Amino acid sequence: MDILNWLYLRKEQLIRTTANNPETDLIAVGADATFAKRGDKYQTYAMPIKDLSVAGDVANTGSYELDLTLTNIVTVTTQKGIIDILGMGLPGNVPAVSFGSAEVIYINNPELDLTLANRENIYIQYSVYYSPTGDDTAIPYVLATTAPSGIEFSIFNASPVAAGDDQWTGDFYLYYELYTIN
Amino acid sequence: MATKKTKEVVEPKATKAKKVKVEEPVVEVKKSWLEEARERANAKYNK
Repeated sequence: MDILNWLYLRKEQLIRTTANNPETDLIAVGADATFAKRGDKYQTYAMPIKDLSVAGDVANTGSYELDLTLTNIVTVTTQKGIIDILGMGLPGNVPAVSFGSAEVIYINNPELDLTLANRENIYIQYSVYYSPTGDDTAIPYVLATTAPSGIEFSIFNASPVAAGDDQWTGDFYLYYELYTIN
Repeated sequence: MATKKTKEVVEPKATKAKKVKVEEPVVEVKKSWLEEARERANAKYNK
C-alpha cells in the first residue's frame, strides 16, 4: 500500500523545506516487526520530525575503547563516537608538561578515504572530557592532523605543573564526528 | 771619501697563508613536535 500520492503533494504545493511543527509533524516509518502475521513484516508507525532527527544521530553514534597498553589506533565504524582512552597515565605515555611533547593516537574508519589527498573532503569535529584524580594536574589539549593510518590526534598537557604520581590517570574521553563528503 | 753603503733590500718573504680550520657549523635539525610524537609512538607501537 502506498500511503503517499506524490503527484497530489506537488500539485497542492505541500512539498516544504521547513516543518510546520517539528514537535507534532509526523513521519511514517516502517519497523521490522517479525512477529506481525502479515505477508509484509514491516509494521508502520509514526514519529515526530524532532525525534526522528535525534534517533538518526543516536543510531550513528558508537562507543569505543582505546587501550594504550595495546595500540594507539582505534578503528571506528560510525560517524560519531565516544572513545574511552585508557592507559595515558602509564610510564612512557605521559605527555610532558607545558606542551613539551605530545602523545599520538589515531582514529581510523576503513570505509572513509582519510588520506592526505582527500583532506579537502574530510569533516572532523572533536571535543575532550577529562576528569582528574588524586594529584593529577594534567590539562589535555588535543590537535588533529591527517595521517596515513587515519586522523591523527596529538595530545598535549597544557599545564605547567610538574607531574604527580596520578598524572593522566583521570577519566579521559574523546568525542568525535568524522565523515567525508567525497 | 765615505763609500755609500747600499742597503740590501730584503724582499719580504712571502708568507704562507695560515691554514685556518674552518669548522662546519653544527646545524641542529629541530624536529617538529609532531615528528617527535610520531617517532615516540612508532617506537612504542610498531616494534
